[in-house]
Amino acid sequence: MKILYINNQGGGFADHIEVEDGTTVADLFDQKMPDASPSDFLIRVDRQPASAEQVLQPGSRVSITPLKIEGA
Amino acid sequence: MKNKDPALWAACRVHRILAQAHCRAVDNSLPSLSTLLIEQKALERGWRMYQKARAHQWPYVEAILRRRILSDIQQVHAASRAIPPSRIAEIPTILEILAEIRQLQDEFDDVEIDVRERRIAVTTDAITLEDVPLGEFCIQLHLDRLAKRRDASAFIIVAEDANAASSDSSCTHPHVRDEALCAGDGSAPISHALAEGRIGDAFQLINRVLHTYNPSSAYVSLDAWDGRSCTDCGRTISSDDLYYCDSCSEEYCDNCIRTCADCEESVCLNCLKEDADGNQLCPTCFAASQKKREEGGDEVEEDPILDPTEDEPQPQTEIFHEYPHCPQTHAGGAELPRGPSDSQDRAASADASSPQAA
Repeated sequence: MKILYINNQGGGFADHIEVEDGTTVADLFDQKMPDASPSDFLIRVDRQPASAEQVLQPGSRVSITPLKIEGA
Repeated sequence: MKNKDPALWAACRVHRILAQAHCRAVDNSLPSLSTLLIEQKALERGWRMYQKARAHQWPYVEAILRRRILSDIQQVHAASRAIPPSRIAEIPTILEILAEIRQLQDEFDDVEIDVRERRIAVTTDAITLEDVPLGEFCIQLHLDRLAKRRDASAFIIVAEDANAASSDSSCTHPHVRDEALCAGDGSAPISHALAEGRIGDAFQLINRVLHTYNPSSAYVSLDAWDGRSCTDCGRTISSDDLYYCDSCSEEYCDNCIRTCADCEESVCLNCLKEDADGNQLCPTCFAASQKKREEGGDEVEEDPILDPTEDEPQPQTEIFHEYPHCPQTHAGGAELPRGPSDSQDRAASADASSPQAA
């Protein structure tokens, strides 16, 4: 199934990506950010706070925003 | 169109801005296509010539054209590589933008849409970085600015209860000066969020930058937030570490201050004077020293006991070393006074070199 994945770290692009059915928020986070801790990020599914176990649905909008972004 | 819902008004406005930007981006996405077309035409022409050469069975011409075609293919490849697959953000629908704006109300306590001022504003919670309370900030997205540029400069950051740096009143946050945020690592995601109409993300990214302190590139370091700047070098340091120059009544850091060798008062480098003996003095002590020296100089001239020539042996020695081949002559041509041993040596030397002695 396809979801909209918005990674606000680095480039910050929004992409439609393919994920397996039954993928949870925690699964997606581990896939996309293997070296990061979820506690360092603001994770929203369909613009709402989400639990780690929440299962993604086709067309879900997942945004991951770092809590710490260094200005210059 | 006149809407009573300011959020809908803002969504329509943002949609129009993004649509116009999208049209411009599409128009500008193919500037280097002409090069590719020229190379392709050259390849087609070479191919036709090659076919003719083959038909006429001209093997020499055929070989030349084959090499040229291979070269033309490389040129086409190079020209096509110069055109990156430009990523033009799709225009979100008005409903999507409206959802983004409504999301702000979930993320922030205070959201204001000012139709007359054409801006969307949210207020952050009170921010404290490294134990320095900076207060709340109003993040304002000005739609007129957004029409011109979709990056962090479309935002204005206003300190609600400013605790500005004592050395720079325009600096209300380590990364905000003159109400403009230097977004650093947040620059690219903010630009993309605005270009894609993700207004909520853009505000949240600005908020996260405001909640983060990067000591390596802050306008004013939080260590020196309550400090003052050195009048000479401009370095901002804690007010406890500043030194006061009595002469010019300004404050200086430890690098730009000295101690008067006489009165031991602090004196800045600009006011510092050096007397003939190399003593670093404050202007007051320097003036006193000069006066004393002048008076002392008068006494020397008037004092018959002191012979000025007695002060001269020191230059003699220096000149002797500087001009070892000519010990008798001063740099200015004056003959140096001779000591007893010197006289003897000279006499011996004169005897040795004189014609009589020979």
